[in-house]
Amino acid sequence: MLKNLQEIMDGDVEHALVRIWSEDLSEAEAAAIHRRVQSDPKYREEFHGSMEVLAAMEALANDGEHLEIVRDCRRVVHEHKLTRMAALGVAAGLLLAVGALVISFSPWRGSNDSQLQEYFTRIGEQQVIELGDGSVISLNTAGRLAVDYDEELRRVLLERGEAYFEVSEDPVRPFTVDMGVRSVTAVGTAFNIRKYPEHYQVAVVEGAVAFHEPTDELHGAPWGVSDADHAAISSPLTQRRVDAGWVAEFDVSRGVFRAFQPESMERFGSWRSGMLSFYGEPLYLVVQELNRYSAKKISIEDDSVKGLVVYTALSIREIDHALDGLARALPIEVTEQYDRIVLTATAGN
Amino acid sequence: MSRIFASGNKNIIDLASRERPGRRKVVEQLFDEHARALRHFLLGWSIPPDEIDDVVQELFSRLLGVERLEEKMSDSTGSSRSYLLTMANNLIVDRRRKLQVRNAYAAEQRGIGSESVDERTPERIIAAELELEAMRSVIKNMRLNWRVAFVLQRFGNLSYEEIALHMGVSVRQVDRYLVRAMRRIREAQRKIKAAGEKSC
Repeated sequence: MLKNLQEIMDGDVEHALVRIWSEDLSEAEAAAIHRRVQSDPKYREEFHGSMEVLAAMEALANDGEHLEIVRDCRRVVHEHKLTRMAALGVAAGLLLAVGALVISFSPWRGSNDSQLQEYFTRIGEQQVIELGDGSVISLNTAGRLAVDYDEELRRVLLERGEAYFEVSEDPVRPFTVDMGVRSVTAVGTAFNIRKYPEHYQVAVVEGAVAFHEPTDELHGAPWGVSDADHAAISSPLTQRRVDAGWVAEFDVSRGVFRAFQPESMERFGSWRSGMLSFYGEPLYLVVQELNRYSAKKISIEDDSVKGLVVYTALSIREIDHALDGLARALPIEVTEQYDRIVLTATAGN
Repeated sequence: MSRIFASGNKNIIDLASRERPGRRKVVEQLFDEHARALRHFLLGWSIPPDEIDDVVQELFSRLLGVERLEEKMSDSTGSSRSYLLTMANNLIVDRRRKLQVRNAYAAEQRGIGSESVDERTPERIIAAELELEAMRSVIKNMRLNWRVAFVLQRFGNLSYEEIALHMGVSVRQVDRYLVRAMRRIREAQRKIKAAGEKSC
């Protein structure tokens, strides 16, 4: 209530225009509107002008689209969501949030909205996006995201690829990452989200995040990842908190959630420094990872080397150097062809 | 009718309610239920105390004459409180417009000269229609949640709590949607006004 009063006293005229129709408008709020209207000629002009426009707009009450919303707003919202899902090619999604925030799904602004900024990176590129509140988003290779940001809203749509989020705390302005039809909301935390063909992976580096259905509200503490959550959990997804040091994955097609605790979180954000660390991964997985950053496809054309174990840090900004490093550490040869880079076993092995 | 509004001459109401005795009871009930909301609304509008009785009586009289009032106030078509405030707003706007026209005419008679006010010239009617069309477009292009909240409130006469229930969000969130929707409308208003001034 005090917040409403403060907004009327200090804010733009919109606050008064909304509060004056509210069923719980207090006498103090009404008096505050009165005082501003009386004492500030510009405010008075704006207030009266807007009330006149609202009166004139009564003529739009019988507009077909408005009648449809009044008759069946739930269906209108639902159909809009389905359209968005189809447009994004996403069958299901993931919602995750940090802190006891109330989450609600809100569709995106139209493409003509100037506040919606889109970013993308080509193969091998990275981009750092700094928001006005100090939050930083790092977008990894071949990624695409849109940022919807204003004084009341912080929302990101991750459409493709991987991004690392360092979120500045702002309890009244949720920071939401939307991955199709569901979202991630965070306050004062750091996490990495990667979109795979079949699942989303969220690695929580600092703070905590929570998965839940988009219509659920978060209720503080009770949800948590326990040791039992190492196993896959079938949907429907219940509220589930994931703390720093944990990685959560949500399988889109099967609706399965799982969380695990890796030995190190370092690798989940290390791509931002241009280096990838590998701790005992087989070569084929390392190559799969390097291919994300390489304009020229790298392929292993010798089954005998696919399972070689890799312990090293590789540059993802200079793929040639990374492959040279691998060739020094492992019994492999790297041959560059016109259309691809081929890895084979060293002659004589 | 609440005592706050009951003083003064009620001739208009008496005359209007002679033909619809049952209707008078309905309107009185409406005023009794929402006296506080109406008082706050009028206070926010900064209606001078000596005009409040006139406004209330005229509103009462208008409501007596509304076709299918009972239907419009039923739960299925929104909140009666919201409907009452919308009627009050329309009335206040009408009164202001008439007053401005009267003042402009009086100033002209005295040779003072005055800014031409809302006379119903063909140009003004066309301008008003264009503005309405622009507003329709603004509503249509809003983000869906803002649009739904705004349409339910303005044209469905739903209370904020009812809108929150329909949309599955908190009342506070409905407030935010409406603030953003109003901001869009005001931005459009400013642009229309600026364009109008430019063309003059």
